[in-house]
Amino acid sequence: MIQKVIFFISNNKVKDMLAVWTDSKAFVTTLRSLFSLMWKKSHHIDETDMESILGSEITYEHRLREIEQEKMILSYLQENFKSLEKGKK
Amino acid sequence: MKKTQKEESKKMKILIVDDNEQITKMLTTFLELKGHQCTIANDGNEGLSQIKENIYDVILLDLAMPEFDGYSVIKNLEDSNTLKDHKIIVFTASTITQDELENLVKRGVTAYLLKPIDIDLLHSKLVEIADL
Repeated sequence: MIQKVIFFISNNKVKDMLAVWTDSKAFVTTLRSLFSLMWKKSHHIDETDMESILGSEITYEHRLREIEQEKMILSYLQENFKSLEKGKK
Repeated sequence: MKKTQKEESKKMKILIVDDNEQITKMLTTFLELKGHQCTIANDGNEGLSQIKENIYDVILLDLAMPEFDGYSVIKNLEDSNTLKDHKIIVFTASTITQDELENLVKRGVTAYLLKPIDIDLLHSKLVEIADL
């Protein structure tokens, strides 16, 4: 259970940030309620979901590798189609 | 490349799960000419249905696919404790690290191959893994 809070405040006039620490029960409870409310609609992203999101990103390098693979299969088929077809028969 | 006796005789049932239609079509042409039977799934969802409904000697699975990707297929099979029942080869052009690929193997994926790969080598790997 959270028992203390520390928060940082600043404004346009004051350059330095001011840190405020408190163990006031009323303050801690209020801040906890505020955060619970703010995060109510959030959902947990576990490691595998994150992996999935990141893994799906198609990068330029990824596309190049795909094209290179297409080229390699096509070249192979062009060079070996007849012998492969004979082999099948 | 010399063909081994095993390569000549083994006729495999292969599932290719990849959203790149050029690759799936050309790969299917190549593998069918080698005498194998291929099924294509152009997204993870379709691939997962095929995996659940049929038995394949080996499955080539791309990782990066729109919406339902290869990771989701792996996770789904993992959640149903059936990942290790299949011979899944991750076949990807993704720029993921070696550690991430090794981690997939630890989780139950049979092997991984990075695109681009020499087509004869790919075939040898397929035969080798199907025979495991």
